[in-house]
Amino acid sequence: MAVVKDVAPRARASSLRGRVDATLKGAAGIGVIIIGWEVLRALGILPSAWAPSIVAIAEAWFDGVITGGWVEPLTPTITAWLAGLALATIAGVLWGAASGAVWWVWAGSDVVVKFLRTIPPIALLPVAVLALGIGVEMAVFLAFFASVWPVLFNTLYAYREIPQQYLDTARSLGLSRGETFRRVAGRAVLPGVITGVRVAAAISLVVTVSAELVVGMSGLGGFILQSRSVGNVSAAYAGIVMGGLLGVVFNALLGVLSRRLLSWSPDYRTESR
Amino acid sequence: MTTTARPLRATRPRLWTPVLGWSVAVALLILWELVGRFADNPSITTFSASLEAAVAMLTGPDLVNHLLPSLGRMFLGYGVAAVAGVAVGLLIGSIRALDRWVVPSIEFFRSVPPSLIVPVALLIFGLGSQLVVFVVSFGAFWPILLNTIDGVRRVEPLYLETARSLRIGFWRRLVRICVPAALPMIMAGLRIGLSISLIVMVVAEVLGSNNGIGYLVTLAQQTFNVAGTYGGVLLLAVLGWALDTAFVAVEHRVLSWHSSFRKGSDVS
Repeated sequence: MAVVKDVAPRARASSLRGRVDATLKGAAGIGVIIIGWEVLRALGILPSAWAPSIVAIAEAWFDGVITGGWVEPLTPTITAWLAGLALATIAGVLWGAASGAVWWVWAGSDVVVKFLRTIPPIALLPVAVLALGIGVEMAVFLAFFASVWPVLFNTLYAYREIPQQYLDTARSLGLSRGETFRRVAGRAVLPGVITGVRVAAAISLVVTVSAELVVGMSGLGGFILQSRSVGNVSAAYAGIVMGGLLGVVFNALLGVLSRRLLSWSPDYRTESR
Repeated sequence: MTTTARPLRATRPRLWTPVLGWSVAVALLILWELVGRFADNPSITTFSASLEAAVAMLTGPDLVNHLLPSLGRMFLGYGVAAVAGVAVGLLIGSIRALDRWVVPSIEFFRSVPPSLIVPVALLIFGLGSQLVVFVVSFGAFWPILLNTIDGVRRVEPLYLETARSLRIGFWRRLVRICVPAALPMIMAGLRIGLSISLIVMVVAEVLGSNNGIGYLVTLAQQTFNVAGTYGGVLLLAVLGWALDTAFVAVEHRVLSWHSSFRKGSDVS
């Protein structure tokens, strides 16, 4: 009985009925949390001083959408976030591939990387501020520094795990090194790289927003700080929700992109975290 | 693997690797020292000056007044998150039906950058340790929870079915089978949670505390104490590195028996 139970839900997951089912249940789960929040507020357990009603939060959020109020805080945040991510992706992939292909690249970087990657990016903030001042460049630098490591390591490991068969087959088919690299290694490495980018995106967002908060810059972090100091608590919560939404939307987009790019891959799992 | 043509993949000569690695590291430190000494920029200082400042922080009164409380708050928050995350994760993980109800909400909360919580948490807790502990717990909780759920989900179904056919009860199954089998993923989550704890602790302290290492470093930066700033950064870097290294050592001990201790995809 256990075997049947395990197989059936997974088989349904990709059907239309399965997706509707999942969406409804997910929404219901979120609904429970919302109801719980309101109940606790009504009971006075959550004081209204810092726990506005979900309606108020939603209002504040939609207000920003309608009046275009989100554009001002979101622009610097998204710019720094995506710019840092893009730089990190390029650098990470190049570095990772070079490390996999040529021994002395990794041998030389090993020690330094092992140390640098464990530095909490926020620790570099004061240095970055001293050197780059307060602004988008500083945020981009921090985001880059923080998010290059997942891409680097994922690329490197993916490169190392390319099945030797692929490379041997390419050679026996007479492909040049360049062609092998582009058409075989590049594709084989892609799933791993995408996982790395997904992680890097989350880290990049966190670091960007943290930098904004600490420095009191413009951007989403600055917006939340401001809202709170003005006493507009609902707007502050709305900002937090927006922060979460950015991550969710990016992940969804990346998921769609990777399903398109990687539909050929036999070992590609859709729900990897 | 034939060796007539140069392989597309690196073959690693074992002996050279640490030598080269350390040479590069030392070379970079020397470069830092030189740049600090000869550059005109007042916002750059030498490695030796930074080191001095860092050591001063470690050996002076700052240790007790700032560093230890910071660490205490971080570990407290991390501990809470670890216990809660693993416990809740084990429960949610073992009840497959809960999946579709609960995961979207968790995924949302997990996407919120923990630092964004700080201004609101300031409203709730005001300045002080409680704030830091709360925000740290919030930040570290989600990756630990998600990794635990994932780990339990990936337990070889055969183990569980065998257990069920031997009539082993739910709780014993959970503790004796699920936990050990899921341990690698749980440990991976705990490791991520630890690094998040450090980051969030610093951010929370900068914004919501008037003592602690985050506060110290920001103070140095704001008073243009360049050596002090770099020193504090150095200290934090070493702290991050030390915590991670210590964790990996513990992880190796705990997981040494686990046959499928795979590296999989790395998450810094």
